[in-house]
Amino acid sequence: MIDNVQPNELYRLNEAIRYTMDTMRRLAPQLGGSYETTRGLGMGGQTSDAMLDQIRDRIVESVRTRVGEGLRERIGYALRERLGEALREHLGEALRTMLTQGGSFGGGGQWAIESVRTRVADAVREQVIESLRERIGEHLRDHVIDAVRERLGDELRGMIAQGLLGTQIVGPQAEALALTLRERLLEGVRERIVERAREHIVEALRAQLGELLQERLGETLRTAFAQVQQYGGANPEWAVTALRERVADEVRERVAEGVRERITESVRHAIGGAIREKLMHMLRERLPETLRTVMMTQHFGGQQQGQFGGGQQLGGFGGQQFGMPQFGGGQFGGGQQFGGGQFGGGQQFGGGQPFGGQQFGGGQQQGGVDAERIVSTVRDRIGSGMRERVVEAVRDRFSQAMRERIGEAVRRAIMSSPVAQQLGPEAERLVETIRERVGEAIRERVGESIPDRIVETVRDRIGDVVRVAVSEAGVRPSMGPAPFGTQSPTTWQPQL
Amino acid sequence: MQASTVELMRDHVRAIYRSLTGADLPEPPPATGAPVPTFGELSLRFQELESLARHIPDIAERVPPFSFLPPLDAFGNDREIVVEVGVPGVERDDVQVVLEGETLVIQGSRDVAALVNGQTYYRAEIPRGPFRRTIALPRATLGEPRVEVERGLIRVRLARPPKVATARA
Repeated sequence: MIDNVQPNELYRLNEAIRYTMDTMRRLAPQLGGSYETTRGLGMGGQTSDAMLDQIRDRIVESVRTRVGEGLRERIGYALRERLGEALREHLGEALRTMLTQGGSFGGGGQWAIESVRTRVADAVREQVIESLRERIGEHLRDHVIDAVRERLGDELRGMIAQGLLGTQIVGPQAEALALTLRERLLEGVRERIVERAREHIVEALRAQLGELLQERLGETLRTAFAQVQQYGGANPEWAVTALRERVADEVRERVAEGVRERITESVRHAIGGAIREKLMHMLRERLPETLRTVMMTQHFGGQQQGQFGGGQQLGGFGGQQFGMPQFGGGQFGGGQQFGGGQFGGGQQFGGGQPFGGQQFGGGQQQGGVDAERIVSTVRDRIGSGMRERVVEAVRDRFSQAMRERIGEAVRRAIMSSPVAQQLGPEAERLVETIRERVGEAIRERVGESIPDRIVETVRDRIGDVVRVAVSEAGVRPSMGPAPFGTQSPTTWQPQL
Repeated sequence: MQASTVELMRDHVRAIYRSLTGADLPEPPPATGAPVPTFGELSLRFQELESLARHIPDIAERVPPFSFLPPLDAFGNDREIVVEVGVPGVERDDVQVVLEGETLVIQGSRDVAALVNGQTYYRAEIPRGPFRRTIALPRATLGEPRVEVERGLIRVRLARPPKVATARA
């Protein structure tokens, strides 16, 4: 049989394979790999840069909208409180130093105001920023990733539906592919996106706070100095206390209001700068790699999955030593028995589906669309770290509220008692100390007392919700080989 | 058979190349007299290329796998066993049916030439290339198989030996 093949035909086949293999390696160096470098993500390079830009911009816009509004509410109260605390702390010292060193409210007033304003504004700004940094991070962790996840999922679904990812998977499997791609893409970049966004927002907030503090402090100090000079110049300590309280309250309110007005726009701007580059990298570089990995390891159906059948389809070449190519025969021919073992082995992958190249996608997809696996993955991912976050959130909010209320009660009690007279300026410090210590104690106790079972209940509930959602999306539980998507136009049935 | 298989393999390589580059595979330079790989060696290299191609969605989508496993029905009655294999677009001459004892082998190929004749495929899902099904028959048969190809079905009829009437005691 070999005799009837001309050497020239073998030579031509050899050259064709060699040339094609070289071309494939050149164009797709990692595997046959980054095909997108020459052809775009999908068929014929339809996924152009412009399209990726549009997708990126839609994700950015979604994040901006959600984060901007939310952050204003989230940090609004804390910002006001931290501003008040920091202003009192730094104003007292600055004013006292200035007064005790002989500054006057007369001719030296302007110089004094400038000195206090600059020194206090910088210190307050840094203290407030530091105290809000974690809170901003928490908010971003909650909202930026949620917004990216949601929008990215939609975009991936759209890309799959339009065939832009080089696949025509539809239905539940497309949903599963979108879900898997989304989570893989977010893995590893989650914290970097949050970190980058936080730093951009912190910088924006720092600039805004600095400007507002300088401005409001200057105005308020000038007015307050004039009044103190008129009524309290003879008693420097009284002047310090009165000035501090008044300036702190007034500046706090005005700066907090100013930040509230401007922060949404600042955050929108900062978010765009922060995540635009990351998203572009994700879409241009990581999406093709991730898609390839997922398609290879998760075995989503579709024509791409022909490769999983490769061994079987080509295994028959080994049969040529008998003088005749046995295409596919290595798996399905030979001693297999009609109605018996031949359908238990290789046929499991083929099922009753019409053509060999596709049937493997059907069989393999059980690995990719296992409903319970999706449920447990989502639940575990949300659940991991949730306990700490629940505890932290409850601690922060509860202890903050309690600190304020207890602080006020303590302040009223001390200030209205004769002790305040004896302590003089120290009374305020005492109030602050008690308030801080009570706040810390509450925070610790609240953290200890949050029962694990609440967290477990929430975690289980997440599992239930995801399970229902997965079920409604039509994702099947793992049930072995079955037809799937467009590649299986007939209903799968067991073979004879 | 083998000569046509070599041609099918080369057509398949051309289809992969076209899908990869959008252009036709150039003709090779004239042979220099250097040793030519054996068919077995070429089969392994071909298999490697095919495996790589399956890992690139853009190619996998537009070039169906080389060789395929068509679906099969088998049924019968007292007089005959009928085996039907679904292969769209084949002619009778493309099919070989061999009865080896009680094992029936149905094989052939679906032409891939259209894949590379200057056409650009956007989707290529209908299987092409060689196919083969082998089944062990559940009953003994008599005579040569009769083969028909009609509307995408290869139908093989195998007569069963008549029942021998047993004499009553």
